[in-house]
Amino acid sequence: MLTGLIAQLLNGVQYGLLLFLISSGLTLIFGVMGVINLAHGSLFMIGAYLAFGVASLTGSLWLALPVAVLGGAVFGAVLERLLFRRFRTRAHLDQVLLTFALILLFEEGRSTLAGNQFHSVPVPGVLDFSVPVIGGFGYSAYRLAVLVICLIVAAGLVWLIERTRVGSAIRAAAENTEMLNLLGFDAGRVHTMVFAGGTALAMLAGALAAPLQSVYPGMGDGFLILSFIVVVIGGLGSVAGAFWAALLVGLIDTLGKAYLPQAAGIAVCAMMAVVLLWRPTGLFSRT
Amino acid sequence: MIVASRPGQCVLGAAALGIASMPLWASAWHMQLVSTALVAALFALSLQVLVGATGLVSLAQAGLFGLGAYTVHLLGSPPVWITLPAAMLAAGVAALLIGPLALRTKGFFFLMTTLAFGQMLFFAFHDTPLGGGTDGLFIVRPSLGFSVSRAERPAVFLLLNLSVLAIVYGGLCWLMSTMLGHALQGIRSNENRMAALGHNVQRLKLIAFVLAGALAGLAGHMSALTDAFVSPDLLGWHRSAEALLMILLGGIGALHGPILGAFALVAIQEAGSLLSDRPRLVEGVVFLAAVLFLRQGIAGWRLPWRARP
Amino acid sequence: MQAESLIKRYGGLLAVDQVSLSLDRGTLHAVIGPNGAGKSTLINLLSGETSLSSGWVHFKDLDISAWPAWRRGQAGIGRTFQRTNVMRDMTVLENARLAAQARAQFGLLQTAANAKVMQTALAALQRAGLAEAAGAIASTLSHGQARLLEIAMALAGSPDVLLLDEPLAGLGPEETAPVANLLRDLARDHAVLLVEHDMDVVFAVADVITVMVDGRVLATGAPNEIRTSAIVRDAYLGHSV
Repeated sequence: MLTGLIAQLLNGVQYGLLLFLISSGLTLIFGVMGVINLAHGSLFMIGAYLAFGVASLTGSLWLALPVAVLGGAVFGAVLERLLFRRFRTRAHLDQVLLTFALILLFEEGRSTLAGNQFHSVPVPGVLDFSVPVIGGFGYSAYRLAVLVICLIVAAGLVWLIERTRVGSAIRAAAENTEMLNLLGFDAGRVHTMVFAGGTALAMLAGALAAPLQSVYPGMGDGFLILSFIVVVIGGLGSVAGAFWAALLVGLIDTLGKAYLPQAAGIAVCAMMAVVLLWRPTGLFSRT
Repeated sequence: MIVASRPGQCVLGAAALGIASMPLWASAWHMQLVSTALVAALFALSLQVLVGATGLVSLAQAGLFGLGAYTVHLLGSPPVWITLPAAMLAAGVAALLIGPLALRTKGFFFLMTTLAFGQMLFFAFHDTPLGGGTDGLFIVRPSLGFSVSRAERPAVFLLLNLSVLAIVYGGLCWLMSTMLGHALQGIRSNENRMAALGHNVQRLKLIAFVLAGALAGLAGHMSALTDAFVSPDLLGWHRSAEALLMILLGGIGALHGPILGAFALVAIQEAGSLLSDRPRLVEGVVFLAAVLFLRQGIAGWRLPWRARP
Repeated sequence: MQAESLIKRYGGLLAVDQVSLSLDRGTLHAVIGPNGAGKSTLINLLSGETSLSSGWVHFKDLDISAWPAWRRGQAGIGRTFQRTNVMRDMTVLENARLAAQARAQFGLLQTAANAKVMQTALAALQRAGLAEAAGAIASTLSHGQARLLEIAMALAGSPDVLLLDEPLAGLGPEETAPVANLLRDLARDHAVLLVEHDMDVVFAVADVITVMVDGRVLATGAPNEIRTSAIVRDAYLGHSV
């Protein structure tokens, strides 16, 4: 019973960290650009399918990770330049519909290229063992690796945002876009960078998640809703907020699914409602 | 928001008569298609009360629509004169409970809060036995008070859906000409000034939210009645997004926009599945094109239909 | 209306510091001061747009200090905005009607074209000199007309108190005179608070003047006292009067 709980807690933290990778991009994209991107979950899915593709072709998952990151950055930059730049100032309704259209198009693209079945991606051989944790039970080494990788990325992200010049540009942009131009930064470049970064993070999360849960249509949906909830709870534009909120949501969702499956989804949504009642702009809101 | 002028109303009336005459000349399949469009139009119209009239973009409408549909199932399909008000009441009460919480937020947060509440309703029917399974189930139709043979069904439901839509549309036209309707439009135009003038903006928004919810429940009820099928998918946020698309296609600035948009979307979806084996791709491309190029919607292309009540 | 010891703090900054003033029907109370003196914040505190850090606001024997803006508008406190803040996509008449409607005692389901509401709205437009422009869409108005619409909307709510935030902002000399006359006229049956920069107009129409500097009240008194006050001259007026 206890070992089961520990396993679920670890799962929850790992899920939360994956969620953080996705949500951090989302919160920055909205915080900095004011754009609602419903297609973010699809980017996660694309990352997973990409990992599947690379792993099938080369037999190595490790190769998939940098491919996902670089591919994501390029893809994100292109999307921003072509589409999202024009939608920065359009109404929320338009953004919702645009990104919903993208979801449909991505789904169709995936369906054409990779079909509609479930695919499994094998865990890299070197990590295919159990690590003994407390009480003598084993926890998947791959999951621990994912946890560690996510923490490293999270730390890197926080360092980038809080300690570098680029990061202060991003933080400034989250508060006030006009300031950005006044401070001498090129707002367009910052936006492209943020979008590219967010996309890369989502796709990295997808690639990491591929061995954990199979690759299948609609795998991005659950993450999408949860990541929006994370962004709302954490506060728009706040990476720190996204971190804590993601952990919270990840834990509640995982524990809920393990012990009270019927109530898991409802519980997470209800929690968001409670947070909004208490702090209508999120726990760590900057705006 | 524009309510159609005399010539416009005449065109709408003529179209309605045309539809009403379908039992005389159209096939059962066509009548079912138009029925689907009519129910979609009613759903989109309910959302227009929030989007076009009050300026509130909500992603929870599908949840309320589905709730109305499931009410029929949960009540065990009593006669329609019980299920119809019950569906509206259930959805209205849900909106009354969600509203005060959701309306504490604005803009993006409102969108997200309504998304979350909509999903809560979805999970309530998807994850629990309430929904009868994730794929949905067939239900017994509530009795209409007179017997309807299988062959007569498409025609009867066509006329029923047409009548309900006509009544609701007429009611909303009238509502937009009242002080309430004008106040809602004032909120869409400049919420901050409306408050400074002394309007209780929160209360007005809540009234709009509950009304829209009840109408969505009505649409859900008609859907369950017509199709004799309910599924948790009815409550998914994808459906809410589709309703938003119908409003955009038809014209966000016109009360009859959602009706035009609903028919347009159903037509496009039908054409898509007939002409290609990738209907969702067609739908996605249509969405994209509409958002990129259609700022005024269909209602805006035609002769400008202006009437200031 | 009476305000006592109003304080508004933003972090370490005191935007409004211990300001007290009173407004009575039939009087036009002007507030002047350099930019950043806290005049707009003061109006926002009185109208409820901004919340008080401390102090009281009383209106007709009621303590309205904690009331939100809409409630104060309901109660009879009307205001205009420094930057024109109207319903831009609706006509002038509709704007005025919405203002009149807010205080109407009718149910919401009455037709918007209700006679009483129309009457009040048209009368307000008339008084502000906008009657001929009633059918124009608000976004098409000239700047001068837009400022008049601001005033008309505040009037259409039949308020007891009028808080006017720089109604003359951006007006040329020919447009200023009729508005100044309107202001004097309004003071006869309302309690008016006027924040303005145009000294000529202020001294011509005001019954009482309060001078604010750095969030504090420097002096309050009749125009002549203020004009001749050495303190005020040093701090603000210089040789412009």
